[in-house]
Amino acid sequence: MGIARKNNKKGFTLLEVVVVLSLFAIIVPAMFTMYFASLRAQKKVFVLRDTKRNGDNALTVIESLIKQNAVSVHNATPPTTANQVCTSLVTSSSAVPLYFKDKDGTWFSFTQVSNKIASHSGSLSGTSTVQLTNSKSIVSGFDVRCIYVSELSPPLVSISFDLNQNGPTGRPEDVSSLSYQTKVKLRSY
Amino acid sequence: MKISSRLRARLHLQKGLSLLEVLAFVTILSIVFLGIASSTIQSIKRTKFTEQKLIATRYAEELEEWLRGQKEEDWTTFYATHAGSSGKTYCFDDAIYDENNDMSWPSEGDCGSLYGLRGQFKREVVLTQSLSSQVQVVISVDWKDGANIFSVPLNTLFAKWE
Repeated sequence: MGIARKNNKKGFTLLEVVVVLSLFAIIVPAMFTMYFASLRAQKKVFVLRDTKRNGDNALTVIESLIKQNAVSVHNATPPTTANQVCTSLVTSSSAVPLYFKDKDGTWFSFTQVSNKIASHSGSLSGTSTVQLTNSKSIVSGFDVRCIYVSELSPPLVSISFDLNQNGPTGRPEDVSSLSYQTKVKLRSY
Repeated sequence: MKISSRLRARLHLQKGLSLLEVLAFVTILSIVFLGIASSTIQSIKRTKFTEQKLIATRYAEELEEWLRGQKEEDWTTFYATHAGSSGKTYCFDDAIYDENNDMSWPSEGDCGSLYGLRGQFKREVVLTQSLSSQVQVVISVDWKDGANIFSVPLNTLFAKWE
């Protein structure tokens, strides 16, 4: 009796197995492709956002410090009247770094130090340096220069830099590039 | 021939699945697959939108900073030549960049239907004189995604402070 039942048992035919397998072969790669596309898109946004945050932060800090605090511009430190630039005597300076003096006589400046933007400030008690961009962002073409406008007007300082992230792999989703530039006038002049 | 009761029980249990069972399984599986697929597509769309918005915001801010520079450099020209009492519109697309990536003024006029900034964005600004020493700046960066048009607005007021 039991033996007879066993003979009735049917497996899948070859055709059924082939159909099922080919369906899986279509669906599974499609799903993985979508999943990885989603991961790549998220990575790209993450990198872009990080680059933008760094650039925005650096530009805002530099811009507001120069705008609010700088009284005069110098091309050497310690800042004296002899090395003051962007006045009627020395009308422009593209010499980097420029040193800005605030109303207390403390100087500050911004330079590019190995792919990062560094903010330096110093007084008689010593100097201190703060990085304005993180280690993932690569700064290039950092430039601060000033222009003498007129006797009645404060010097105009232009700031520009490019910010790139290449990522460890250099894949398209790890790469982002933004450029920044602005001009400010010294309001405490 | 002696068949143990265990073996007999097992032989009886070896049945195939009924059509209904297979149908239910396939239905549930396809619903799950469809759900995953549609949420993944949604997620990709969202992410793409976020990316475009980040870039558009940067372009808007870039123009704002450049305009501020122009205003700081020469208020009289900025106020009298580039801004108008009823508003002057400019289209800042790829053509305004030189080889050093520096910007310059385009001739007056809007972009029309051209998305000419990096092949996908449209960046326009309207400069309106307001009072005797203020310029109202209205920047908008638009981009298309399928049938939808998205926009990042940036409005500010430049004033002569010296």
